[in-house]
Amino acid sequence: MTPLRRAAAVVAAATLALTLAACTTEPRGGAARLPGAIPEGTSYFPVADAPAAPSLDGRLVDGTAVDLDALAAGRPLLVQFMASWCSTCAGQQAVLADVASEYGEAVAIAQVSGDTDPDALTTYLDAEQVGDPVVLDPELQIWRAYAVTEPPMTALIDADGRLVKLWPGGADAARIREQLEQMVSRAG
Amino acid sequence: MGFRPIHRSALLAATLLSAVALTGCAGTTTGDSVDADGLQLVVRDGHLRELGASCSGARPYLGIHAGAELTLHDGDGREVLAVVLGDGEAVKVDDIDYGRAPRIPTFCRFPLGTASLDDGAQYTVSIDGQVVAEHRADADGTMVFVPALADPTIEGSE
Repeated sequence: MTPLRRAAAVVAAATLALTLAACTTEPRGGAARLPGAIPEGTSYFPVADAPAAPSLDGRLVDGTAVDLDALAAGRPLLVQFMASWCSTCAGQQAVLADVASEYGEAVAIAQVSGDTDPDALTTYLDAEQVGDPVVLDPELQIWRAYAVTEPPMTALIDADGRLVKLWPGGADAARIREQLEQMVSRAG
Repeated sequence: MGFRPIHRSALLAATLLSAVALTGCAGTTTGDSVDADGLQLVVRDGHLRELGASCSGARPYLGIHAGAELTLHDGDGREVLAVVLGDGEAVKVDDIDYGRAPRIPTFCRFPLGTASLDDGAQYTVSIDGQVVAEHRADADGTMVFVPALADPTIEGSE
């Protein structure tokens, strides 16, 4: 192999490696999407008269066992009940993305899927670019605990695990923000 | 997706509500989402929704949603209609004034397109292969109800 061809081969291999690295991501909805560290200077105000939130015990799409503590990780948790066949749920993704963009790690977001078809769910998560952990609930046990009768429904749980709000049909970003402003204090 | 026996008074109320829905909803259809002249599926779930919102069947009718296939079979088992459902639309169940309530009792209505059904004939309604109702066609009937309206001429329908 001539030096020129060797150099070309090295460049091609490097390009391929970089391309593969750029394209490889963790599966959507899995443990890699769980919350990270709470930002410095963030504090939370619990909602004293709210009832305890029902259990969120389940498994993420990658099989990771989770519960309310794991999903919230000490901060307010926004829970979206959804299904891949629910077109209104798809419309709610932009709302969740807005909240995630504004609050970052100060607020946790999780989704609970009522899908029975894993392939349909995977397709949905990719199409909607869902960036949250997704709990599988094909038997609708969690849905029933939260009185979900038709998706979407949005639930807001405070940092102490109390169920603050349920929005049947989903909520808009302004309503969620209005609640969060009473629950979250951020530095700066 | 099972159905429990319904009390006579409840049936009467449901029938009246549905009749109101049929008349009261005519003016609530928006855009081209429902072909008023075509066959329609009405899921009588009475769920609280914003009027005109996209919907699917609420529990216990969660299986009735966009992407599910509805089929009608006649008495001989012949498939006379097969439709993949699109989004439903929330329509009134009654003409009560709910004031400024954003969400009111609704049924979820799906357009099914056109189908040629024989007057008086009975059809089996299935969603994704699961029987959910029986439908008796009549000259004016463009609505397929789930659960089905009681038909006093059918033995055991009470």
